[in-house]
Amino acid sequence: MVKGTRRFAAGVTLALCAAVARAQAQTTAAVRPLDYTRFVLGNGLVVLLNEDHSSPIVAVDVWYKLGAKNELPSQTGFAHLCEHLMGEGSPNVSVPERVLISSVGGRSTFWANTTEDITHFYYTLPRNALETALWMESDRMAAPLTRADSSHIRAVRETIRQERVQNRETPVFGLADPFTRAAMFAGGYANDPLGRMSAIDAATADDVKQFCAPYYLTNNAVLSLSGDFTTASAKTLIERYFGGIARGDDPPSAGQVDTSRLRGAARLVLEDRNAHVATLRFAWPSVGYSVPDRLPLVALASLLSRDRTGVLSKLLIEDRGLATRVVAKAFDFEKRGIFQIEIIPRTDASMTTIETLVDSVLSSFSAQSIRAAGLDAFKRMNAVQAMTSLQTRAARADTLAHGEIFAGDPAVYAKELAATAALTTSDVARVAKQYLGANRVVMSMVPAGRLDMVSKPELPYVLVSSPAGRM
Amino acid sequence: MRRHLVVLALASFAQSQAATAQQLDRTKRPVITADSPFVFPKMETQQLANGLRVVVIANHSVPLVSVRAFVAVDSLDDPVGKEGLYVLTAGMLHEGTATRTGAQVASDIAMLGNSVTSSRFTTTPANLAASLEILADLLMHPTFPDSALARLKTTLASRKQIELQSPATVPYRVLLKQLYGTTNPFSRIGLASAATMETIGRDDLVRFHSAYYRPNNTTLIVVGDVHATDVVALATKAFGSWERAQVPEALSRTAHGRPRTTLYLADRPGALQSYVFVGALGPARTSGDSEALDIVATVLGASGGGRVYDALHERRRYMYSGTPVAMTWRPAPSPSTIGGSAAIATTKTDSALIQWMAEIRRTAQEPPTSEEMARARAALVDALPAGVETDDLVANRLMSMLQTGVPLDFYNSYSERVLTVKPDAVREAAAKYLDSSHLVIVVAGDRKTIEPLLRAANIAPIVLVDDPSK
Repeated sequence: MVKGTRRFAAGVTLALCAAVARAQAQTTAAVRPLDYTRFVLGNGLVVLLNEDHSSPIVAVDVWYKLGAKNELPSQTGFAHLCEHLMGEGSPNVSVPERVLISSVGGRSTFWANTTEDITHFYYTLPRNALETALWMESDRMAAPLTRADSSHIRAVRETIRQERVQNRETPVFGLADPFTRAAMFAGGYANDPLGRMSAIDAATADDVKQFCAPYYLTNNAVLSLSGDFTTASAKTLIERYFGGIARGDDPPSAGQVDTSRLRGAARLVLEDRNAHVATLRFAWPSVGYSVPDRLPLVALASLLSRDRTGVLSKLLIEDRGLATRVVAKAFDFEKRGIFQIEIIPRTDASMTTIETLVDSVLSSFSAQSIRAAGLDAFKRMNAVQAMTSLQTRAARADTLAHGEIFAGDPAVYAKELAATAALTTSDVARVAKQYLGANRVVMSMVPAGRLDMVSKPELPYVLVSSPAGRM
Repeated sequence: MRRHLVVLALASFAQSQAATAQQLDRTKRPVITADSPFVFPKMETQQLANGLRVVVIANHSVPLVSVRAFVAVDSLDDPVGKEGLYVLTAGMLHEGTATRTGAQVASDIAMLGNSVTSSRFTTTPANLAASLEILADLLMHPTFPDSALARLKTTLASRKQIELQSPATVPYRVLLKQLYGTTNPFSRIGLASAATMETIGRDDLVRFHSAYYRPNNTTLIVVGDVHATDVVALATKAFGSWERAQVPEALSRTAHGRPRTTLYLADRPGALQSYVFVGALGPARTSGDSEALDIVATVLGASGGGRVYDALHERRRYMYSGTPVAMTWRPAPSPSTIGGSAAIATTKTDSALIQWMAEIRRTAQEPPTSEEMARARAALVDALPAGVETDDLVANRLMSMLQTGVPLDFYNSYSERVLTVKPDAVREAAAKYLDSSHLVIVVAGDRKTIEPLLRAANIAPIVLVDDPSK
């Protein structure tokens, strides 16, 4: 499984913590903190334990710091290929991961996920099966990629071929994300985590092992558990199963990931023969996870498009009747981010008119209009979401591991919540001015043959949708 | 936040690792000891004087509360010729009330910090009363302003076009139409056509709302950090003035007979995958066969061990992901759908269907093995706690019980009922409901490539179809 972008923060990431009670005065109930224990084994494995006895289950989440940004152009899709191979079994586990885990009552949305930055394996299972999960995870961590042989690679390649068709070629405008990144970034963030089929078809077992093995190490991994165990007993089990695995050399660091290739606007047009409805996308390179400006950018996205009170959604949908849907999102990778606005026009509306209106809103964005758009309401929403989003054990294990890897602090969400509560209207106006400038991607997505719908067609654009352009 | 100091821990770990590394035998899989049986959270039910049912499940482990309002009405209640009436009515509930304009509804919700719709919200206990007041206002006092109605029609028309972009939309509609029959409301599922939407005016919405949105047709579900007595008091305050009235009888939803297996083929030129549905009618959730069918669906369709899933994914890699067999329970007494779908590599469409049908036939003849029964029990029984892990999941589970018409104590004895099903009863349920000679197969794909393959494979008579909503 690959998700193009792991998370977009609809609000600041998520907590059940004491800070919520301070941020939201009307919350009188005592807010239970998301308590956790962190320790590091001698071999470098970072362990995060969130003990919670309110349901007899445990979420298991194992993260490796290996993602698409670590790939060279000839290796695109290798991190994801290795995710699949890791799921096929290990020396003492003869069946695929999901077969074993579901046979003991475990379940997962996608079982595993490869992003720009990381690969992780995750599921929730009954508490009495925790040791079985640790046995399986340690077996594949102790001897990773034992299924990286030609017959497994041949089989996995066919699965990935169908995954690509299902998630990129079939969905209408499913190639919009890879084309946006390729236009925006130089270096590793230009890679589509799903990779290019040509690179995957050419990959040999040796290529794959050589690329992935330096990352599948205890000293490049985080094990995060949330649920019904005692910290002491989990610790004993983890030492038993993972303690004896040897650490490796320091993994190679990613190459160049933090450069934008945009010099002005890259105007792209994507055609799709299955499309009935057009879409206009604006995308700007923005900041990585740990950069403080990420928080006002998240606020900005909400103020632009939240429900019917957002500045752009209200203008384009209600006041002018030009669009049926407006979504602004702030995506965050480890080292970079993307700020994106997508608009679905009404069938009779001109995308040129919409682009002009969007630009006039963005250029006149001021502290005053931000206040009117409800920065206070956003903060209240963020505080409530901080609690509602962390209900599942899977979300808690995931949040702790994400904080550990992306910010060096599992509890970074608590600090972000406080920082968001302190945002001012001028913080938000400043990032709008600073980041939403001329260096951007403008993509008109249109039904095949409808180039007349392209926004501002008089400006030069690149058509990225011909069959040869399929990635 | 606790944080253990790495430095202090290191020395002792190094020692214990040396000791445990020698003892650990990785070939030995840990033994799982039995856990105490699953108990569904305890609920309290009360009825207000006007007939509104209030169901409360207290859970004080997290300071949150999940609320759902279930009104027993849906698209199946749209009168013929007015398809789309339910969707428009439900959408217009948010466009203004007797005391709030649409803009005020939006800004009042924004000030709360949590979203509130006419059917749900999740929030902190401190926001419960204010959120419930808005939800009640939306359900009880909508004004249906004409300008918002015009805008909503445009939005729904656009959404319908977007829905048609999905490769699953057309084959799923064909499946429902063939299973339930053209006169059954199920065959009209999906968004209404522009033509019928045009005939719907504000008066239709007012009448439809007045007929169905009544306290005696509504259940309020409240799960979380609350006490039942407080909830009943809040509900009485918010809904007490809602007047009860006789609600119309449901339209007939009886499905027609069981035609011979037929393959319906819809063209999607150039498609790299075929979207395949295979299905049949099953009983309602209230039937005594329902647990045996849950096992049938797991034995055939579960990812990691399901017969059809493994045949198409693990063994042959014809598909990436899919749910080839599952149970879709409908509002009782309507028949359920047993079956599912997968996106299959175009050139493997025939091979995949041959495997798919072979596994269906085998399941009607061979009872599940003991390993398959154990896997099904793990999926259906051992995984139950994870299915009701949070207040939201508990509330959603109650909603689905109300929708499928089972008593609210359905899950109290569900585990026992599953555990008593014998392998041969599973085979019998498969033979009865998933009979290979009475299936509806729908394939949407690149006709010029797959039609010759499907004809040569001779799986079933082929009928060419178009989008049934056109």
